[in-house]
Amino acid sequence: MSGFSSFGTCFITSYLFYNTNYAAYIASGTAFSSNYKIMKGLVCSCDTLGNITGLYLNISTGYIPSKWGITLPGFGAISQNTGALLNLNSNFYTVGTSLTASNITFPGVGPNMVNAVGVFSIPLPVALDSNVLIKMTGNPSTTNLPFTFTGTCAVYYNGAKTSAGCNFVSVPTEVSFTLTIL
Amino acid sequence: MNLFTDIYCAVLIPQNTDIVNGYGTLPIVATTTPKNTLTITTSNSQDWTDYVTNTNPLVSSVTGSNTNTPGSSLIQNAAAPQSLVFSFKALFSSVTTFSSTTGTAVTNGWGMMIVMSPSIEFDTATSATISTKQPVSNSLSATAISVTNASAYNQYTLVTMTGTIVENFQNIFMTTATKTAFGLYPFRVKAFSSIYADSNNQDIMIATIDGINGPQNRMTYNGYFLINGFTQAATAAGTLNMGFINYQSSSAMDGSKVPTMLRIKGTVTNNSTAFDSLTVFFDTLTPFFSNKHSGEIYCYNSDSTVPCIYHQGPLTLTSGLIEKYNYMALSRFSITLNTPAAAFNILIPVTFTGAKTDTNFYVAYQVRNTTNGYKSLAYVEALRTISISQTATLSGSFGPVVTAASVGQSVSNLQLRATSPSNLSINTANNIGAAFSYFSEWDYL
Repeated sequence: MSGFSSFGTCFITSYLFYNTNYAAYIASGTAFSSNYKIMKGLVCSCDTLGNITGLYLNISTGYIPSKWGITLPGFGAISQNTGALLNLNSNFYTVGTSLTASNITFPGVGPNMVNAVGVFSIPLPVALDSNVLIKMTGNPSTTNLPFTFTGTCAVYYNGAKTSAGCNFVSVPTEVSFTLTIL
Repeated sequence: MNLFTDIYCAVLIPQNTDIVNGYGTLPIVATTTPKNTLTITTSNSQDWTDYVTNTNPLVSSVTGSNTNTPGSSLIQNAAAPQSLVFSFKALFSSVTTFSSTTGTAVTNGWGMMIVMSPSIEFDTATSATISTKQPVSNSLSATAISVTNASAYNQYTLVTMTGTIVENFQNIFMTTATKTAFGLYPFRVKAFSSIYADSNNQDIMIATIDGINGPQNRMTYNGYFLINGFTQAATAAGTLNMGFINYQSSSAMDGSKVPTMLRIKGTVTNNSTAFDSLTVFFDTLTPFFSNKHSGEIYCYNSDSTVPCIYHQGPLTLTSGLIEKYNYMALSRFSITLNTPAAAFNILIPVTFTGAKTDTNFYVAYQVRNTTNGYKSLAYVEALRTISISQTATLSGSFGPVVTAASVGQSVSNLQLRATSPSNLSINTANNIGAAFSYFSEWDYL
């Protein structure tokens, strides 16, 4: 990480944000809930220069996760030298480029075939970090699909079936696959 | 107090490491069991404190003369004699069974014994006799002795104050509880108190006795009072800076977005060879634990990879009023530094309850005795109170610039926007909170 040296020093650190409602759960039977997040980040202290208007830091290589879709997790904050928290906000940007799934394979069907038996194979364009909803629609999306789905689905990795869950719902205009990462 | 009459044999067994304290020790192990141990009477300390005037029950005055005007703390200063100033708010009835009627003679006398660590030494080099400054002059007679010879069976400082009629001690212990102060001079405070139960501890035990002149079977102990020696440095080193980053007082900062950080930076040049760890006493903070059983907490330390340790104090402040003057009873962080003479930075993420403006601290450090491994405080600064009244605004534009990226992509030269919408002042002295922070449950770095 670079770009702050003229203002001061950046300290990279982490902590575990963890809490539960265990007391309420025990006392009154409230449904158990918890938070568990290993928070990673940096604190860049303005020890040599103050105002940091128009500043962009540089991360040599950053990986954009797929777990959260296009709205990435993260919060930034600005603190005055007295320690007072002035500004706090979530990420300003969302992931801007859509992914394209290619090399989809279809079951062989003829023009008069009512029921085709075969496999739809959809190579995922990105590694899965979390549960994912995949929708297959016509173009435009209000158009009825030329088929309906029955059967089962599964997730494969390097040719082997994985334990990830796969369910789908088919309606005339859309097939929705829900992949569950266990 | 019942005296123990049986003979009790014990042996000392050397061992290399005490797993609790981390240093070698000589535990006492009983080899016989007393046969007639029927009762061991204990007595809880009475509460003679009164912090309304923000005065610890024992402070010192460095004026170099006999006074009962309290200073700010018990000042560690081996080079100059001081007055020890005790400030009590104790009822007459708590220290004696004699009648409070004026002129009542006290059979065999009344006395108060004050037993202290020999590191608070009666300074015979300045005066062979003790002087007192009492609410009414010469009410009580005082004697003092310090036993500091290493070959003595015990080392201690003992002050005995006696009176012959009730008026003598009614001037200090009144029938209606009133805070009074008396001074004892001259004493030298030669060391800081230890925060451990060892020989460097400066606990001060006080007992009041009816019939102090004896015989022993007619002596009655009435008042007991145990206080800590709240030793502090005469002057701040000026090289230890501390402050918050990301503090707001209007609502709790629970760390779910960004943490509030306690930042400590500076150098320690004195005692750097024997230096062991920074110690920060505080009243109302909670750290993030990496191991709650051992007290290890999340902490950035530029000078050591040894985990920072949290020690919970016995006092939980709800009123935020009084106990902040008793740093011994506050919670504390212990922070190991390998090279304290070099500039260091410490960042400790913390949480606190909402609507909290003031946080109280004592910055201190400990040294370790290279012979016996005992740790002891070598420096304690005066109370610091950080007051921040602030509500943050939901504003600013931060985070990774991903408008041209897609999920699952590795991006070279990924930009992280850190644009402040506010004017920031450069960090200086204890105002070291000016900073940009960015935290996420995803590790972009």
